[in-house]
Amino acid sequence: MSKKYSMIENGAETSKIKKFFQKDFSQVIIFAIPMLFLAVFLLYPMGITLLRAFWKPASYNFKFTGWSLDGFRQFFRTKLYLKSLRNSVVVSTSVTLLTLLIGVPMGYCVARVKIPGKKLLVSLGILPIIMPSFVGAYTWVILLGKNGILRVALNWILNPFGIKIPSIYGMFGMILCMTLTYYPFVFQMAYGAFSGANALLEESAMLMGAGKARIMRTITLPLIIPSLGAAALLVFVRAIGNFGIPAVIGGNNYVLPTLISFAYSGDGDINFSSSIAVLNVAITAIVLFVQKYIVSRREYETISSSHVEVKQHEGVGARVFAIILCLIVLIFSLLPQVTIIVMSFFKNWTGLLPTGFTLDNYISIPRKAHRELFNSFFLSIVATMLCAIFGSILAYITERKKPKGASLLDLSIMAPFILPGTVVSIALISAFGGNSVFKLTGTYTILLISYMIRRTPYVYRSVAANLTQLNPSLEEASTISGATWFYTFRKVSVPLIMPSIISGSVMTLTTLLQELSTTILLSGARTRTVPILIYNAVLANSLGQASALSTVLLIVVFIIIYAMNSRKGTNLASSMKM
Amino acid sequence: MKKALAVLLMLAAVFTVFAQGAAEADAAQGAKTEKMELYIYTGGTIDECQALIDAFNVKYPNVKCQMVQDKSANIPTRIINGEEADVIILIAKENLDSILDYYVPYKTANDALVEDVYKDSEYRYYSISMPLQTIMYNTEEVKGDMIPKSWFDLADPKYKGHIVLTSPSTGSGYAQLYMLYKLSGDNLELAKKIAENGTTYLPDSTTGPAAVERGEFWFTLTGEKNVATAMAKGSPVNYLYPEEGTGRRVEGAGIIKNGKNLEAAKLFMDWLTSTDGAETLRSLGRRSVSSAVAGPDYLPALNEINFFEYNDAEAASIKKALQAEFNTYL
Repeated sequence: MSKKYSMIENGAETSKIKKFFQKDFSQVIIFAIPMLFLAVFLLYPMGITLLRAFWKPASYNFKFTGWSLDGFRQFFRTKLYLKSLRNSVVVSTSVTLLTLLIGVPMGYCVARVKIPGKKLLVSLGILPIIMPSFVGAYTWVILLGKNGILRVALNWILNPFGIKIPSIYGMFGMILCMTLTYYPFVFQMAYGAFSGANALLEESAMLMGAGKARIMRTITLPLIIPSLGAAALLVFVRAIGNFGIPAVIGGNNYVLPTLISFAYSGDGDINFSSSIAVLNVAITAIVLFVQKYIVSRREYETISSSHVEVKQHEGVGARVFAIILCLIVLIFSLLPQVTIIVMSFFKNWTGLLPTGFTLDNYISIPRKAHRELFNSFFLSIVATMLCAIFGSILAYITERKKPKGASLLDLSIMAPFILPGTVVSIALISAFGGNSVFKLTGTYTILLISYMIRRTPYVYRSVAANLTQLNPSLEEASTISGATWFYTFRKVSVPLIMPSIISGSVMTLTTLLQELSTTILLSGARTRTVPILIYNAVLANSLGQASALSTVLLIVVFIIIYAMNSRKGTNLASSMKM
Repeated sequence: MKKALAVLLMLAAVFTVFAQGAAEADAAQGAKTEKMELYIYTGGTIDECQALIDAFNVKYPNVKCQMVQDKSANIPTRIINGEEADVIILIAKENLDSILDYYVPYKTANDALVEDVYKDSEYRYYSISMPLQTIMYNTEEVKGDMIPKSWFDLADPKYKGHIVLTSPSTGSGYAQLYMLYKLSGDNLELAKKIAENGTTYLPDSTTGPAAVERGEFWFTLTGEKNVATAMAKGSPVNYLYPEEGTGRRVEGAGIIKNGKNLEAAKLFMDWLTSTDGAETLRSLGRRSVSSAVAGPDYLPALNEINFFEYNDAEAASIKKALQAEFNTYL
């Protein structure tokens, strides 16, 4: 009897093992690899930074200096630091509100009013964010400084009304410059939301007698609130992490990234700079929490079997208003780009107009920047490809398979979105510097890793947003027919989500081409990129040279974005969702 | 997806082929003589470092130099973090002093040309140039009697709101604060009065001179090289060495033990401390410490400038205290 049982048990045991090996583990493996990658290259460095924040501040010392709250004490006991904290909050909040004020009406106008050249407007409307912020800040000094051509013109117009443009140095300059740099996030998201919102609901309301204002208040706006919440958060994160603009035109109004730079560059104190970085991230986390709370209470899903084209306003008044609004915003926000293109043909621009026409700034590019051009394109393209593969597979797994720990994966992927580039770089330096087991600083590998960590969210979010709108029945049909999940992913899902992969990849590629904050701290002798050369030229006060290089990047980026916008179904906004 | 991937792969492949082509061309040239490599970390600009490399390669074409550029104050952090620099150049003395354990002491072949005051007693580093701090002013805004004569004039209410300086929380800004401290008789009275005169303290040392060039502000304190560069471009600026003089600041170079190319590093240090090296520095607008070499174009000769004491060791020891006190004025 017992022998029989034993045989049965053995049989059960064998079939369990057999079943175990017959199981499809590819999903687990594919889930585990990115988790491992994120654990090693994001959670570990960030963990070290968090620990360092609680080490005793010390100049030029990477070793353990003892547990201490001195960094935080020093911060909260110094008037200047508290003032900087206040400045950071005031600037970021003001910029967020102003970008909403500009971006939402503009997004509505482009999406809902019948105006010509929409693709061009959408393509031009992304350019302000595609420029190193310190270069943009310099151009605002040229334009709105004491002798700036725009200041002279505006003062001439406003003088009869007794209005004078305030100095560009200070809070006004910082808020203006950041608003015009970051409003594209809101504009693109609002445009995407207004053109994608289900028109059936609005039409039904209209049929039931609701007025336009009521429809806007009770249907349209609630539908786009999640998108606006995401855009607002993105702007806030960018604004609070920006170093370049406050460095050039902030004057005595320091902000948190200024203090991180003081601690890191002025004192070589990586521990104290970590303490400030942790405070910076804590503020962002609070804002993220508030945003999630507000948006989650107003999140709606619309289920519809048919797609109705959004109705366009065709009235003359609406069309004229939309065109004027878009033109004013675009002209003002693209002035830095225009200034850079003009400056690239001159030697100097210290007065009202530039002086010393020259083509040397362009002629010298092949000689001076051939390696940097190669590095910029090589690193950006390879990193984009990796982000596209990595991001879309991860989005597919978390969205469709919903494995255990998916929320942890989601949080890990999105974390770098709320971390300033400098914070990520400092974390990577302390984790993978020359003294660590895995010495990676100065290599292509560390740059690719940092780019992947910081930019995968674009493809990930874009694809995830697309997948939620796709009915899984096609994929289920494939699986029922016996295909593995990976085969289904390749043959069924990828063709369907291709537009979102492209928009996420375009956002990744274009922002990587001008990436500076991470690259400057991690690059070595062989891995210098074009933005580093631009930064150096600005430091050496060779604005012509910096402008020529910036113009080259600008043209490449514009061509890529315009080509993408000409493709049906792609939408940059989906890659910015949080 | 396939098409997009194929295009991206092709682009990546094209760039790789170009890169390999460039590397092969470099290798063919280097094979003519004994090939050496050298990793130079510079606190100067990329263009300056490239000019030094080009001049060095005229004599030593077999040494293939690679550079890493960063702020002078960031270079010690990179060294402590183990980056494999062979030599560091154009680094402010206070930063050179922060990594004394990381040098390979080396007495250069041209040691006799360098005065004792410009080298470390244990030959860990040599001073090569002098980032002398001067008052830069805009000549269209400041003329005749308005031109100050003394450092103390900067506290004059007639200049209220027209001065831009670098925050003393940065390396160069602190050097300026320490100079004002010495001028006041070891206190921050003068620095406080200047701060109370509506002075703007920018967080980056490069932005002040550009602002004065454009006439946004009338005065700034900066390295004399920045004034010479702006004057060469035709910008309406001039320099001013106040009657009390200026602090004798230096910046230098040394061989780092993290590096793997000691012989090439020695060759570079020999060249840098030679008259040829000093002349190259001069041509870049930097003031060489070598008395055999004239001052840079647009700037006065060394013997025309007054100096007052600049004690690096003391400056380093009281840095935190001075910065903390000054921060209360902002």
